[in-house]
Parts: sequence; structure tokens; C-alpha cells
Amino acid sequence: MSQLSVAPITDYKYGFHKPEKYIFKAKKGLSKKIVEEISWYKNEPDWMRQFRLSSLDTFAFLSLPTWGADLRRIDFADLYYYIRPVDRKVHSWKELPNEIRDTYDKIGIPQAEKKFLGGVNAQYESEIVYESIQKSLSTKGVIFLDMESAVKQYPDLVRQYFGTVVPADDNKFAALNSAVWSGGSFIYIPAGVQVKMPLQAYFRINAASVGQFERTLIIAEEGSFLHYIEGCTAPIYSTDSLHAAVVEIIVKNGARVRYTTIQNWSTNVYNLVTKRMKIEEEGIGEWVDGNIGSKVTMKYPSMFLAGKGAKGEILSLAYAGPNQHQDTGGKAIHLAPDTTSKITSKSVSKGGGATSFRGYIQIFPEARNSKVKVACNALIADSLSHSNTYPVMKIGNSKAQVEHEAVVSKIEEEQLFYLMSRGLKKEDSEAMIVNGFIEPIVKELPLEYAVELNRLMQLELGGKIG
Amino acid sequence: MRQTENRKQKREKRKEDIVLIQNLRQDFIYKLDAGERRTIVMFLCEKGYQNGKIKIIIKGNRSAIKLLGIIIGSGQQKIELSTLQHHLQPESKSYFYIKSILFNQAKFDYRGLIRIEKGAQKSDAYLKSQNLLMSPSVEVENRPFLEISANDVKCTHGVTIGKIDQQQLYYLTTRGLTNKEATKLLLLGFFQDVIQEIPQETLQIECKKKISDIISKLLERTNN
Repeated sequence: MSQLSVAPITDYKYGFHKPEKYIFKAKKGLSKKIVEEISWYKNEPDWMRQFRLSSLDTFAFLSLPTWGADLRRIDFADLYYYIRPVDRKVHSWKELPNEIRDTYDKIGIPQAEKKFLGGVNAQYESEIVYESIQKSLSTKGVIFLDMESAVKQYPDLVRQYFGTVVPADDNKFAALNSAVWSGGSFIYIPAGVQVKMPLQAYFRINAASVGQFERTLIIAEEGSFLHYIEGCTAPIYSTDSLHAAVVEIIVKNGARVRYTTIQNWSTNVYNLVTKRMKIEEEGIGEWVDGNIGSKVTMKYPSMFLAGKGAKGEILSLAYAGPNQHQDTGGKAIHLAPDTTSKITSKSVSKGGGATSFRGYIQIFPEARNSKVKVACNALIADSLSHSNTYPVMKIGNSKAQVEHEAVVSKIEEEQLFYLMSRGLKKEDSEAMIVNGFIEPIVKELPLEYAVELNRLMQLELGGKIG
Repeated sequence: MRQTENRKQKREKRKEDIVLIQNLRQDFIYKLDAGERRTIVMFLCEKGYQNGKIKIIIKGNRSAIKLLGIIIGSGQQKIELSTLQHHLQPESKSYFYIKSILFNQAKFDYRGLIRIEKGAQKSDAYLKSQNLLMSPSVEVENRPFLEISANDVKCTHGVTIGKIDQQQLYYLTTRGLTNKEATKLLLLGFFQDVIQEIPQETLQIECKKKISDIISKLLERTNN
């Protein structure tokens, strides 16, 4: 078996034995029976069971994308589609692979956090913090739950929106997620409520925080505000080699939602995610999307600008090291007049890594006076690496204004020379230049993420920290 | 006497350097040798369906190619154009500059690929596509792609799609020009920087004249 395909959970490539603490584990492979078992185990209402089953048919019917990264090596029959989170966790700090432990140390993550990030089943100290946050949210009427609980506690609300922004037949991986989803967040912000601090999946620690087939649904009612953060800069070690998440966001009139993702899966993971936002009148939707880890990532956060005056922005950051392929980008579909969108992408490839930017802009005839600006910059750090840019712009309206530019370049010799003449080593100089290059996106991140990300880039580029 | 002959020869040679494409009835594939310099002028104003590819294969180092594109689409015309700047060898330059003005229900579908192969270090590739839309029912599609497998390169592309600048139009009309005259002046101005890059004065004048005639006719028709 090649290291690309998914080894059984008991003997994966890092070679440490994982005790089988059996609680519930579906059999390998995908079938109607497995999907029914998952639904039964979660004690779901009938409509969700039906949704899963019909999505399974859709999954079988749809074919793999013919473009982008090579996905033919994913063996769908050799995967576990449902494992209780307890089984997924590594049981002690020592069981984690060395390189992951090293990275945690080098980027300076506190011990308690390290354990959580490494998937070590520890009681994280933020538990108390979490309680108080939950309390202050619920007094405002904010619902912040894991998806399973939301299906049970707020069935009508979930049913009304679930699968409306990303339908199951959107693509093969959205269909797969719809059939076997587990975990993810459900957030409902009532009209006019401003959630001041960013919400993080972090705080939902007792639920399945790191899932293979996460399903997230966010509903921001009129005039509300939310910043949601998913993932973290530290590498997340995962024993699952396929991640197919779906994120659906509904931004109602005048509301604003920012969704920040920092993805740093270990490099055995195929990360194939569908993320989409529907933005209504005068609403603002923002995606901040950073991809550093995984073996292959295919992810194009999208915005449907459906209401007059809606605004959307995507900031995309990708780093591809050896054997990595980051196929990322963004999509903006303008359906209503006076809508604006902006996509900024920065990518770095090194050591044989490949980055691709895939953009899609469509302006419908109804979307008069729409404005679009797309800028992508790619940095190729050495002669082994690749970079591709694939933007598509479809304009069906003469009252639109579209600007697109892309630049691919290397690390400037002059800048390097200057820094080295000031006594910096070559690796450190390179890291400094790369950090400067990605800075416009990094500065949009919360401070601790930005600091960690800068350290991580320095580490990836062979420089030393300190 | 001899000197003048030499100069004449040189001028002849420079003339040869320009390749003129006036329709896309067949694909145009050009292989560029080492040290070769060439300019292609693509002047697409013919009516009717146009579909073709322009492929430039750079198989020699230190060569340079320039493509200057002028496109005027009108009526229910559909224009499908693909271009390729394929750098196989190092230190070569390719510069594509394409401008289009679309009237009526014209459709323009453009795909431009810059591809730099692994050994083609120090390549400098540039692609610019600017599109001006003159009617609410035109449709434009632009796909400027980059596939880069070498690191020491400079590759840039830019696309703009939009309408006539209303402020400029207003300014000109306040100076006493009619709306139609002002529009015509702005459209001619839109093509001016491409025309200026044509390395042959007679061809520049010829192009300008032709563009002016076509635009006048189209503007008259839209007003009626």
C-alpha cells in the first residue's frame, strides 16, 4: 500500500500503535447500511436520515473533478466514515510524532494548548472560560452548538437552512459530506446582535472539535456581526487522510460575517472543502483562508452576492512545501446590482511544492454597477517548485467594472543581498522576505495567530527562530 | 549609394518582422528561434463568427515576441480567441497586449495561457487584456492562465473589463463635442497605446484610419 492511500487506523505511517478503545466505529467503506448506522447512532430525525441517504446516491452518481489536483489515489472503500472522537485522539503526549512535537516547541505554543492541538485527550484549561463565554452568548440569544446537538435542539431552524447554500449535488465531496457528516458548528446570531469576540471551534472542546467530515452552518440575522475562527497555525496531526468539510453561511440584510480558517493538517491529508456564503442586501461577507498544511488542498471559498449592495472579500494565503499541492482561490458570483467583491491571493511554493490559484468571477445581467477586483501574487522560492493561476471572468453586463492582475516572481536578489549584507543568514533573509510578502493577509489575523504563523513560515523556510 | 541600399534592405527586413493577422479562420502557430524578434499585429474587425488560436512556441533563447491585438466586435458576432505564450528556452521575452471594444450583442471569449517550462529561467512574459463594453447585452469571458515551472521568471497578466469613463465623456462634452464625437474620440484613444507600439508608421496610420471608419459606422447605427 502506498503511503498516499489511507492505511487502517491501527497502523498508519508514523508507526505508533493506537489502543483500540472501542466505543462506536462504523465498518470501513461506504454503503447504505453504514450511513443508516451513523444516523441511528446519532439518533437523528427521519428527515436528516433521508437527506443522508439521498446524498449517498448523489455521491455515487457524481464523478471526481477532472481538473486540479490528482485525486485518483483516494480509495473511498478503504476509509472509516465514522469514528467516535474518543477513538481518534492520541492518548499521551509522547505518542505524537516527533516532528509535530518539535514544531509545537519551536513556534512556542503553551503546554496545555499543545496537548489539545495534538489531539491528546486532555481537559483543556479553557473549559472554565468556555462556560462563561457560553453564558454571555446565550443571554444575547446566540446559539453556538455542535451540529449534532443543533439538529436535536433546534430541528426547525436547522432544517430550514441546512443544505440550502451548498446543496448535496454541488460536487462529489459535498455529497460525501452530506451523507456522512459528523461534528462541525452551528451558529445562530439573532437580529442586531454583535458578537464582539471572535468565536472559535476551540471553545467547543467537548464536542468533536476536529472532524473528518465537519458540517458548519452559520446564520447571521439582519444587522448582526460575527467573526468565526477555525483551525490553528500549529500543525494538527490527523490520522484520517481524507477531510471533506462543508461550510454554509447565510448573511442577512446588513449583517457582517467574517470566517477565518488557518489550515495546517499534517501532510498525509487530502483536504477537500466546500465553503460558501450567501450575502443579502447591504450585507458583508469575508473569508480569510490560510492553507499551510495537508498533502492536497482543494478549496475555493465562494460568495453569492444575492442582495443589492452586498459586499464580499476573500483573502487567500497558501504555502506549499515538498510534495504539497495547494489548489486554492475564491469565487464571487454577482446576482444583484451595486455589489462589490475583492479577492486577494498570496501563495508561496518551495522545495517542489505546487500552488494553484483558481478564481471565478461571474456577473449576471441584473448585477448592474458591480465592481470586482482580483489580485494574486505568487512567489516561487526555488527551481523545483511550480505555480499556476487559473482565473475565469464571465461578464454579462456592460455596467460592470472588473480588474484582475496576477504576478508570479521569485525572491528578489536585491532584497536578499541587502539583508545578507546586514549580517543576516540566507535562510533568515528569505524567511523575512516571505513574511513580508504574506503580511497583508497575516495582519488580518488575530494577533496570536499572526505571531505563530510568522514563526511557522520562518521554520518552513529553514530559518531559525530566536 | 551602397549605404542607402543597406538602409533600404534594413527597412525591408523590419517590415518583414511584422506579421499581420486579420481573421481567425485558421490557427496560427509560430516557432521562435534563438535571437529572433518579431511583432504580430492582430487586427480583428471582420464580421461573422471568429474562432482561432495563436500559439507562440519559444524554442530559442534570447528571443522576443510581441503581439498587439485590436478587436472590434459588433452585431451578433462571436469571437473566440486563444493565445499561448510557451517558453521552452531561457531569457526570452513575450509581450501580448490585446484590446477589444464590443458593441451590440457581441460575444468575446478569450483564453490566454502563459506557460513557462522548467529550464526556461529568466523568462519575461506579459499579458494584458482590456475590454470595453459598449452595450448592456454584450458578453465577455476572460481566462488568463499562468502555468509556471521555473522560479527565476517574471510573469504578469492583467485584465480590465468595463465601460467608457463617464467623467471623461462629460469633460469632452462640456468642451463642445457632441456625445457621439466625444465617444468616438475616447474609443480611438482606447486603442492608441496599442497602435503606437506597431513598429511601422504606415501600418499605424492604416490601422487608425480603419478603426476610425468602423467606429463611426457602429456609432451611427447604435444611435438610430
